[in-house]
Amino acid sequence: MKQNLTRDFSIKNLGETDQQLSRLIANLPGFVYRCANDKDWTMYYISDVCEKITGYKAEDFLNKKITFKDIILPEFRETLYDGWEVVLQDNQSFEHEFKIITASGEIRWVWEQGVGVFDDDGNLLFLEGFIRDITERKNAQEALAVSENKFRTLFKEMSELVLFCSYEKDGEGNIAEVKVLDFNDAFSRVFRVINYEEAIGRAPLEVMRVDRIPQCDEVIQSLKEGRNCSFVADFESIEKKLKVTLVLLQGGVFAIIATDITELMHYNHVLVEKNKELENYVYVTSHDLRSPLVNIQGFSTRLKRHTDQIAELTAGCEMDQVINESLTEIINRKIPHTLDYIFNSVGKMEKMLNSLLQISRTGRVVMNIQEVNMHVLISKVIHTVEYQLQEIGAIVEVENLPDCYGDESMLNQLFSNIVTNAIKYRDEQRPLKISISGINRYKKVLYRIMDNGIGIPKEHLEKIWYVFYRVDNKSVQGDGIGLSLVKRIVEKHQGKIWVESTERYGTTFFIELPADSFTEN
Amino acid sequence: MDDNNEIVILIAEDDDGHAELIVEGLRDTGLKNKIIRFDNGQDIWDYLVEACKEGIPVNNKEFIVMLDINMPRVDGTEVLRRIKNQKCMKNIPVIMLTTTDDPREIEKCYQFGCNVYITKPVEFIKFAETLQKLGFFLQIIKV
Repeated sequence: MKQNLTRDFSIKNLGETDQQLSRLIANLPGFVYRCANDKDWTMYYISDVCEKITGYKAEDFLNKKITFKDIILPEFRETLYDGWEVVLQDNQSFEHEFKIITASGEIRWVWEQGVGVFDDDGNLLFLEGFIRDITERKNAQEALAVSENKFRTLFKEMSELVLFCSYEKDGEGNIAEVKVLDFNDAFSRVFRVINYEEAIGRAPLEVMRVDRIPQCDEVIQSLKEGRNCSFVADFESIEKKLKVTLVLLQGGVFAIIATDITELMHYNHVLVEKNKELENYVYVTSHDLRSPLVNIQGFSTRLKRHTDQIAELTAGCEMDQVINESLTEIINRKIPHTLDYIFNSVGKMEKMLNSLLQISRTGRVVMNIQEVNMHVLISKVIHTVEYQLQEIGAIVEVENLPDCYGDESMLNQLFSNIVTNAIKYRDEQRPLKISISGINRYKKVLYRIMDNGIGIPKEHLEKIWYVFYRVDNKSVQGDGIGLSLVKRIVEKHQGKIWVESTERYGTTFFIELPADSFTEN
Repeated sequence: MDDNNEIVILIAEDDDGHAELIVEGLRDTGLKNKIIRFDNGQDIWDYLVEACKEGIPVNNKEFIVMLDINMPRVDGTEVLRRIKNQKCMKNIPVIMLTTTDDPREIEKCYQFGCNVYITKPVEFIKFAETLQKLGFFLQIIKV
């Protein structure tokens, strides 16, 4: 009897031949089955949609060409047997997710819901259920889990401090309540938060345990206006300096992202101090070296006068001819020759010392920062060399000069030096042409001064900024400090300067200066 | 001896060479006044304080002071500041004679009340000319 029943469990034989039912089954987003509760889940019925999901036709299962067990990945089989056992005992419905392998070898996730069907005596007749493909949902879930895990790891391990807070606005738009939602390990380390769970939901000030939050007003203002902001915050009580960015998120949440720049600021300070020390060193040495130079020059001059006196005194004396000739040689040639060298060297040395003094003074001088009308400034620069420019038949083109901020007299010196260089290092074979232009670039102005001069050989390009460095010692007059002075002025303006040059074609200087007012370092 | 010769020139200069060159440069112009040289700021200050105590009416230009800036113990600008703040000395003409042409240093000296500021040029001829002018200037100064 029981055997008979098991053989006749197809839907047809049960008289459920209603066309509506088969249409319904055909349109389900999955397939229905009726099978034996055996190790193979031998199929009595399986709807055609199974082909879409498994790649096997319904007949393949019904004719036992393949069993349902075969397409279930081995690691799920035991769980499924056990699962069925439990639900059949309690007469419950069965629900599971597992992986199958399709006819083409593809792995798919399916979701199954089924029940045991019993006769009136409580004997199990068969299993019945529905299976649908959930691969896409599973993949999305997995991708989400991977991404969440990635984010969590990043959040936990990153060196930047991150704090998430919720905030509420009262009726007048004021920030009423700020609560900590989450923070990472870097945040815990800097603010010495021991108990994460206890911190959640509290006010930031309580969690951070500092006497005050720097720039708190600025944060509140930003929240009110609904904009992001960033600033450097000095937490004096814990001796930390942080570079903070406030980012507004959706749903009344904001994130504080902060970089610990305590060490960076410390080294920056050390560097500034060292630089000052170095500048002072240059100043003192170049100054003190002038003192002995005054003596060398002064006493050499005296020596010259004494020699003249000897010449006068011996002029009328009668003496041995050999001695007389030697004396004349010494007085008229040897001593003046020696003194010439001394005077020349003293002159050179004084020039160098003056240059060093000038450089160190540029570094030490306090700037008068104001808006500089660049058209006016360049006109002045050109005006001072106008005579020279006319004499050599040079053309100067000036266009598009946005204004910038800086010390006018320093900037005058900067551009004068570059224009003078263009004149000095012009190519005699063609008329000199200098083009000066500028463009605005985010908070900076970039000026370009281009000439068609002799250019700078590649190997010298890096060194032109060095004090006393001259590309060619003999060709052109100069003290060798023009460009180091230029670089210094640019650096004092927190700007940048660089050069592009092609030998025999010309040189272009690029100078970046602040477009907004700034404070001296 | 004319009146002018009664004026004593006090020179504070720590560099022996400079001192000698200055004195000689002044003498070359025909200046015959008594010249006293000190090699630091403290000594010239002590000398002036003593002179004040002895009641030498220093305000009536019995002295002309020439000061170098960089000197041991008390530097030239400090001596200048003290002189110009001392009732009995403040009318003494003070000439700053130094190697620096740093505008801020010069500005400071004028603020403190120096009468003349001269940069010692390395170029000796220029230096000699300066000293010569100074010598003539000193000879012209009368009470």
